[in-house]
Amino acid sequence: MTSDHPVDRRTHVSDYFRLERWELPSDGGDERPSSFGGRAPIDDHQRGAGGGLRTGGLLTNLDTLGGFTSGLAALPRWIVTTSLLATVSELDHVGPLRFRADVVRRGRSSVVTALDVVDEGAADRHVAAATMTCAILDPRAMVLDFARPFSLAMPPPQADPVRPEEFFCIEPGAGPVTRLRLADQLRNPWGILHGGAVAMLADEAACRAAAAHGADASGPNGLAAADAVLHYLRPVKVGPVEARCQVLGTRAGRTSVRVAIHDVGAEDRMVTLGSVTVLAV
Amino acid sequence: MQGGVIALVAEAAGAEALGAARGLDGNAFVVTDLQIAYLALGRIGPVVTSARVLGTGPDGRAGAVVELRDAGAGDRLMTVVNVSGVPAAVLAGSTR
Repeated sequence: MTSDHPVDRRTHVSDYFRLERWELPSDGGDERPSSFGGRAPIDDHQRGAGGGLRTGGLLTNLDTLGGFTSGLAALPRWIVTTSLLATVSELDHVGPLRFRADVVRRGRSSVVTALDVVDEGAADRHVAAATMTCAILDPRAMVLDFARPFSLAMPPPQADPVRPEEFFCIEPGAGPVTRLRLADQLRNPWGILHGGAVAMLADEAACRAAAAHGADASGPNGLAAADAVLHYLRPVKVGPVEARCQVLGTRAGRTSVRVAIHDVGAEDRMVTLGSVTVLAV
Repeated sequence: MQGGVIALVAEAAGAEALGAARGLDGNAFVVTDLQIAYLALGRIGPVVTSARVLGTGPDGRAGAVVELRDAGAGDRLMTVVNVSGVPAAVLAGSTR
C-alpha cells in the first residue's frame, strides 16, 4: 500500500469499499439535518465466509456514511464516532448494497444517526440496521468546506485488489488475540485510526477467537461475524492495536465474543470495548 | 421512565412483532439480543412503541427495530432498540 502520493484521509478507507454517497437535503429547511444515501458494490476480494460483504466491511461503510451524515449535522463543528450498534439480518449478498442514514437526534454534544442497508441485487432484501452515536468536537484545523448538496461518485475498482485483512494491516494468526498495524492509510481526518478499521479488526479477531474456542464451524464456509456492538472509548493514536477476545458462550449456533481493543503503543490503554456475534455459515 | 423498564417494553414489543411476522404468538418468540440507544428522557407518556421487522433467516432467527416515543411530549423519539430473536422451538436445547 505504499505510494509516492500522500494519502487522502477523507476518502481512502471508503475508496477501498467504493462507497458512493449523496446528500438528501431535508424538506424541513436548514433547521433539519440532511439524510444521506450510499451505494457500494461487493467486489469478489471483499466477500467473507457468509458469501457477502463481510461484516467488518459493512460496519466500515456504516461508519463512513453515518459519520459524514452526523458531521454535516454538527457543522461548523465535526464529530467522532462513540458507538456503533448493528444488527445484521443477512450475510449473503448479491450487491450492490444501498445505504441510508438519517439523523434521529442532534444535541449540543452528540448526534445519533439511524442507518439501514438493503441488497439492491436481491430485490432490496434487508441486510442490516444500525444506530450510531457521535460526539461533537471542535474541528481545530480540519478543513470542512463541502459543496452542498454533497455527492461523491463511486470510486473505480482497484487495479491490484487486496483482501480486507491485508488492506487493514491485520497480522496473520489464530487464537484470542489479533493485531493490527497502524498504517497511515488507516487514519481518518482526525489522524486517528478509522472506526471502520477498528470494526474490521473486531470482526477478524472475534472469528479467530471463536474458532480457537471450538465454536461450531460445521457449515460449509466456516465462521462469519454478524451483529456487533462497538463502544469507541478513546482514539487510537499510536499502535500497534491489539484485539483481545473472550468467548462468552454459544447459543443456537451463535457464539458471543467480547472484544477489548487496546492501543499497545499508548500505554496499552483500552480504546474500544464491544461484542460480536459469530455464526457458523 | 427507568431504563430497565424501557428495555423490557422494547423486548416485549420486539417479540410481538417478530412473532407476528411468522404467524406466532409473541410468547413463542425469544428475544436473544437487545442493542439499546437511549436518546431522550421519557417524561410524560404514554410511551408508544412501533416495530419494523427486518428479515427472517432460514432457522427462523429474525431482527426488528423498535422505536419508543413519548406521545405526551410531541411524539418525541426516546429510544431506538435493535432486537434479535429466535422461535422458542429453535432455541430449546441449543444452549451450552
